[in-house]
Amino acid sequence: MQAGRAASLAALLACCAVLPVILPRDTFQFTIVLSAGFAGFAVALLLEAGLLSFGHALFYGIGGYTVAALSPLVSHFAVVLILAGAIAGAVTAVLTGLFVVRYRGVFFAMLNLAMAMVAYSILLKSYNLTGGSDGLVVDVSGIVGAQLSPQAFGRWLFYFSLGSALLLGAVMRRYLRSPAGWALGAIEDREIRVEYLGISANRVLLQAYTLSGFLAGLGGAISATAVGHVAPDAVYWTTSTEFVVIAVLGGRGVLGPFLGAALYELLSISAAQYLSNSWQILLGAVILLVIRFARGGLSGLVNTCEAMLWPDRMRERGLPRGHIR
Amino acid sequence: MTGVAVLEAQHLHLGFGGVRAVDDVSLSLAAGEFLAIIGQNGAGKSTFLNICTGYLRPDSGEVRVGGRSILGLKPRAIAKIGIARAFQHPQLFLQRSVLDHLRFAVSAGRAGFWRPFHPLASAALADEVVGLLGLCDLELVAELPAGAIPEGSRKLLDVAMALALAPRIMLLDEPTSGVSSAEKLGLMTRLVGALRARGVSAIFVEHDMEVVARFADRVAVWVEGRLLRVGSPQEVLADPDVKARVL
Repeated sequence: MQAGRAASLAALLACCAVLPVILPRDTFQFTIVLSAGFAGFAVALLLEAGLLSFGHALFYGIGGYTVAALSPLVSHFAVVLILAGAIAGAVTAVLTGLFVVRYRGVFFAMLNLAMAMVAYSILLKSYNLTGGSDGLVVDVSGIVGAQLSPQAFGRWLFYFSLGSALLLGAVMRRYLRSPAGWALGAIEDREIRVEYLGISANRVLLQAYTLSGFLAGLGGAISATAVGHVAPDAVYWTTSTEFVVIAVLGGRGVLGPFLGAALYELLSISAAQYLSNSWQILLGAVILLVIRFARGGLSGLVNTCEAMLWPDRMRERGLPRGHIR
Repeated sequence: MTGVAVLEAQHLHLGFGGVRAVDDVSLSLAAGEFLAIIGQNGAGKSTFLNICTGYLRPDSGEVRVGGRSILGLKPRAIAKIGIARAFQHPQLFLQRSVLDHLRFAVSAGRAGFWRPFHPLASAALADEVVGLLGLCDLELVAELPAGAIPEGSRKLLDVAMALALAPRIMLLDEPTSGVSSAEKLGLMTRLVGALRARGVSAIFVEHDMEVVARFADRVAVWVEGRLLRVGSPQEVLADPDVKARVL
């Protein structure tokens, strides 16, 4: 059964890998999907513990601004810049997490939103440092020292993002199956039992929050590198909401947020052609359909299809957990 | 009480507004002893357990474990020094399997807990998990989600998780509540057997006097936040004052 799942995943990856070959003009868009997928994954990771963040654009923006700030120094080292952006996201998450992981429910959501909005104001007002509302140009054109043409760099960035998604997907899958990862769901269900087992729920959440900040920072760093620009809008609350929508559309698990990001981008780009400035109507309708008929998001639909095709496999993996209660 | 005291509560006071939930209570638990606490609802029995596990802090008084004060410690810190707790309503993760509950509980006390790549279903934990399944008679429901097993098995699972911490003291809040009369004695026999097999001392809050008479070494009678009487089950349950005010 595991072989069948591995084959499905390999086929999906192969399809993703040939996208820039079949649709070279859309390579940039595919990279943006992956960057949004990382940020959606960051939000979905905290949803494992039942915590909803409306402020993850903070780490996404920090990742982008870090790349922008360092790109004049090492413009031919995209790998270093993107990694620095992800680490900056994680460090910011540790610092803010020490405070926010003490809270649950609406307080957690609003504190995250408040922190992101404070950062937005600082970025907006610090014109000399951040370029204010104009933002900063991100000039990255090389990978590890060698300069590339814009097309080649765009292709490389896509494959780097895809490889990162694969690697981090495997890492996060292992993490979610470790005791500390399992504890996230346990905290959502019965935090008091977790504490009575001698485990600090706040420490478990801080670990997850830091990983979450790393993922969001990575998404922001990739996005800024692909777009070539970063502005305070990257930290604005509407950006955070996009990541929540992606997490809800995609559902839990490693694959879900990337599927959610693909659907979100597909809706926003395609619908804009036909519904002009009101593509959100279509997005809202899709969210309603997901909440009504597929509470586990797209990954939940994948699990349901798997359960219908291979019931034994689902029994081995245990019961799927609902996304929205 | 005979034997060395493993837990000592001295002159505990705790009020909620105008209600004295615990009023000058002094009580101790000897090594290997099973102490039952009886009393009417709202008498302060569960409040006492909540103080002993760090969930509530008394207004005054002292609680010592092995001579060391545990006041001010958080529940997780108290769990680490050997006081485990099972709840009146088992605190379980209803969609997860019984096996995963025990894997999680066993891993909680190990260094590998914080290693991101240390699998929950580690082979190193297997013996301990199988031992707990057998000890608490949970083998037949091991693969089932906790939400799908009978209440008696849920109680045993709650105790098995607490036992995974290798505690010295177990505090059980109404271990037979929600279980049918026919199953109560069987459940307590398994539960007490599991605790005695590991040399754990226990305090249990109980309303069923047959269970108390059969399984307790001593009985503490609680009335309106105060200790009315402490003694052997035979003495206490035959006391006219206890009969009138509690039974």
